[in-house]
Amino acid sequence: MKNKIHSLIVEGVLFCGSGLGLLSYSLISYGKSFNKDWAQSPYLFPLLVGLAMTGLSIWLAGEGIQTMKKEAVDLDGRREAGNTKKPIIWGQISEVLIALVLCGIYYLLLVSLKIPYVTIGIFSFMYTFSTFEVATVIFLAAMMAFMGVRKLPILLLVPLGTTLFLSIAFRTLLHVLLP
Amino acid sequence: MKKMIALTTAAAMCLSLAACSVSTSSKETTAAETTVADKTETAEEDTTAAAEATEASEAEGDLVATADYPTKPLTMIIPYGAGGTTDTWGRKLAVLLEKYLGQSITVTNQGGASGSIGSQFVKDQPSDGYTLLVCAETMGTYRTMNICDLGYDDFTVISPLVGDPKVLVVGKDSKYNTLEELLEDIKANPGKITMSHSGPGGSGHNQGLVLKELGYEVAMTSFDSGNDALLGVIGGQVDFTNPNISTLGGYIESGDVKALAVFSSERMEAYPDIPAFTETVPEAESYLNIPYTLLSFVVNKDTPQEVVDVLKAATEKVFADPEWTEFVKANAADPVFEKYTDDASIQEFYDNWKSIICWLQYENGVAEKSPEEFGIKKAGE
Amino acid sequence: MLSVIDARFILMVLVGSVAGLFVGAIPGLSVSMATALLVSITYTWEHSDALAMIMGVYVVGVFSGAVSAILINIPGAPSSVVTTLDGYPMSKKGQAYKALYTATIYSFTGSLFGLLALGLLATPVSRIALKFTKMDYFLLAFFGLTTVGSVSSKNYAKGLISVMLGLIISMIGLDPLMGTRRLTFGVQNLTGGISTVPALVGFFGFAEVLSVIYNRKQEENVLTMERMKVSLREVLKGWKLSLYTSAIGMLVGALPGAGGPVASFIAYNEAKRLTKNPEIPFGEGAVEGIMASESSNNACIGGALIPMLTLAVPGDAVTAIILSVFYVHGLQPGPMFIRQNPEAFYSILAAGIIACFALLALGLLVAPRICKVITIPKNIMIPVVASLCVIGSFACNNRLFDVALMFLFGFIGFLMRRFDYPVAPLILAMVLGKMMDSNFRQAVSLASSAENPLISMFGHPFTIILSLCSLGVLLSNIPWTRRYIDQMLHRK
Repeated sequence: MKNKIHSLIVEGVLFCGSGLGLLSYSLISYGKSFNKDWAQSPYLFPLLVGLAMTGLSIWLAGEGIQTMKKEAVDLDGRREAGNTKKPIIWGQISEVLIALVLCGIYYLLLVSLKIPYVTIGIFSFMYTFSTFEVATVIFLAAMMAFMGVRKLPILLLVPLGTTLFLSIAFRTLLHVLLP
Repeated sequence: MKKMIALTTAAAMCLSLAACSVSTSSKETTAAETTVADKTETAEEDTTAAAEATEASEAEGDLVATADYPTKPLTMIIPYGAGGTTDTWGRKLAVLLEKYLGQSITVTNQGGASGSIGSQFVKDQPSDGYTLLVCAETMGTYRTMNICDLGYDDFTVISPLVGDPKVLVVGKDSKYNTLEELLEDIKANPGKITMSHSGPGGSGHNQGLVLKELGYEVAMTSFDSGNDALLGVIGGQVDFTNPNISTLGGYIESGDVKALAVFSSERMEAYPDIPAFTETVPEAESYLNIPYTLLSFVVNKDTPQEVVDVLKAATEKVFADPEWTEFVKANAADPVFEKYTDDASIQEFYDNWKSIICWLQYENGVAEKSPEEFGIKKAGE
Repeated sequence: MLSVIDARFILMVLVGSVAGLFVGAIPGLSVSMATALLVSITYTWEHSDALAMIMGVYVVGVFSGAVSAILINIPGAPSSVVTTLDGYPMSKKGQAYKALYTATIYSFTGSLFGLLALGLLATPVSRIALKFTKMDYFLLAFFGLTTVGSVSSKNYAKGLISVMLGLIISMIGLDPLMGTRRLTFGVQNLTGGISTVPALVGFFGFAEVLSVIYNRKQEENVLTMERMKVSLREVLKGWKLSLYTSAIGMLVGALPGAGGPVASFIAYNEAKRLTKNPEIPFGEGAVEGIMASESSNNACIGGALIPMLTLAVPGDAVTAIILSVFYVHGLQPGPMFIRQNPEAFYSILAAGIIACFALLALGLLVAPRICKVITIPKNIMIPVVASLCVIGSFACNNRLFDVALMFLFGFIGFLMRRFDYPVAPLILAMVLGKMMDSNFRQAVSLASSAENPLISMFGHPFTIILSLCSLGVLLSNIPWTRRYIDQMLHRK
């Protein structure tokens, strides 16, 4: 633990970088802009935010250094500091990544799939469905299966029901354009 | 078992919610669509907007639609947020157009970036006349201001709508009582008298540039909107501003502001006491014969001529509708649509407008690109 | 006043209220979207009917943003962000019903307070709002941002960094005054800026989805519900606090641009300062947190209507749309409005007050039923929430790009939670960013032509008060200065 750099310092350096990046972005852009007047320049505010960000990151890193010093001196302090930190567990991160990939596939389905509008009239009630509905049913079923739902009726009925509800609420009633 | 109960309750909840909203919305739609005729029993059964609207307007015999267009509901894009001048006029137009086109028109606000986002959206839609756009004067300056690559020539103008006259006002406690006093003080203290305007490239800013061209240099600050600029004057933070008459109405009456001049070459019908700017500064004439705030009704450029004709015919009927003329009067708007009715005069009007405004902005360092790049000639050349 | 109220009018309010409940509770469906839709539907109606329905949607919609905030940790609107801080921990402990009950009661009192203030104090309050200079608006937002210490008790610097991230996100797109592209890096879709809805849905909703997936091996799949009985007397204990935070909400609501999010942050900060010994610490499920947040953001409704009616300046997105209803019906809000159109003014007021009672009734009716949502197993609920996130972020602009942004924000939000960075300040900063930016530049620009720029900028009474307040909050939160202040006090 002693040799490991406190995560606050790493974060401090990271944000310091972004603060300095913003600073230089606003200065360079101001230099390039054709209207030279700081008072109404669009880069005045980014400049201030960049400054504040840099300042804060130094504060953060400072705090990190302080806690590290404390830890070195006081062994009990380390336990306390260790408690507040939640280290990333890689096994769990991989699950998050799988979920993200599922969402990514869903997104690609929404972007690339082009299903023509199908309209069904039941009495005087018109129900229209298209890409969104098909993709959502697939996504919901896949996601539920991934999260450990094993009962087939639930795997079928819940996605269908939810999608039907969403598309009636949004497309039919609120006239929101869905993909 | 517990799970199942929970699930069923959840499902029941969803259903009941859905049921509620179904009932509310059917009420909403029926109520909205049966205002022409009274709420009849048959209307309840017949839910499609098209059928009803057709029935209603056929009864009046005003329908201009052909067999081919419009056959489905239309969308109107307002490239500004709800509640502004463009929105108000666009919605009024949409409701009246519905009456003559026999189809419902859904009005959608797509605000942001001086209206370029909504305009770009319309540009990307198929040119079939089912997506309409009501745009403001910024359409003429997108290219020179380097906001986006759109201009009036990307669209077919169905008709210019209205202009909103601009009035020069000061706060009620201001030391200025006439336009002469204000102009003299500006001459005496160049760059010290503050003026608020609605945003760079907008109508208020253009007006400030005209003042500059005429030799009156003021310290201009860009506010969030015309109304915001006006409140700056009423709150005593700014010396003077130049709002649209539509936002000004109540304040003249309540005595919160003093109106010094209307920024035009003639007085307004609704406020005959406010002098025209040219009465004090006759040399401003050449700048003031165009409307500074201008709304236009356009569709995509490649829209078939038959469709454009239907829209033009419908728009003409709207302009003759007493509901429209009263609305124009109530808002003290400048009826630009009356002056330019045929294609040639509309084209000429926009060319003239662009050449004055774009060059004004470019020569004062507001616009980034030269109007020449886009083939806009300077007025009088 | 009685002449405007009849059965039809009340029915319209009720219909609007039910719609508001539905719209506000579904993340991504915002009240402003619903009112915008209503404008086109109610266009041809009598204006009193149209206003009745819109007020119903508005009042109940603001409340029901708390429902999703409490139950699934996705605030329905930015003003409910603060409600998640204590509401969600409460429902995690099985106290969802108590949280919803508290939210209902205090939303009711808050709304009523705001509307009564609108009825009685509209003109004086609008005069105060007129005296606010550009610098004051900037400082008010700045003050709101400095209070984030109260929501990020562990580390103030992390709270402020989250604020800065929010400000940076708000800067993306065309700048509010000049229309210059900033931080878009040539991406056409970024030109319009990043809307609040994808960020809200991503940082809260989707981040929650990812967090649950991350923790699902450790945490129970099904949350248990506590016995559902809450005594009214116990809930009403906080009435003093509620009155105070309602007043804050009303005043902040009356200042255009700041609105619900700032009001609820300031109210939360005050509640934390004034409640010396909460039964449960703030941030872990303190009812006081919900009281403060809900009464202040609902009091904003009445507040926001004041500048809209008397100055024609909308206080927030919804009042902007109500304003267009007025124009469409040929009514001209402004200083003369209340005198010239008393029946329109009173129909707004009456509709609002009826909507308050509808809120109370609906809240009490729906709360015990809807809080069962948390007993739905997570592995079914979470995928449904994920698809809600997608549709919500898509619906606000009809762009798939926003869905992609939402996923990105969700992942960033997830990482921020892992590393103890609070997300709420980021949303607040994002909502305020554009307004702070433009007001600051306008203040600088106005001052630069004055004789003495510093006096012109800071010389006004409100400016001095607000500067001192923000400075005070800042200093009391920075560890070094706090230590110094403590030492000074001890020496005495």
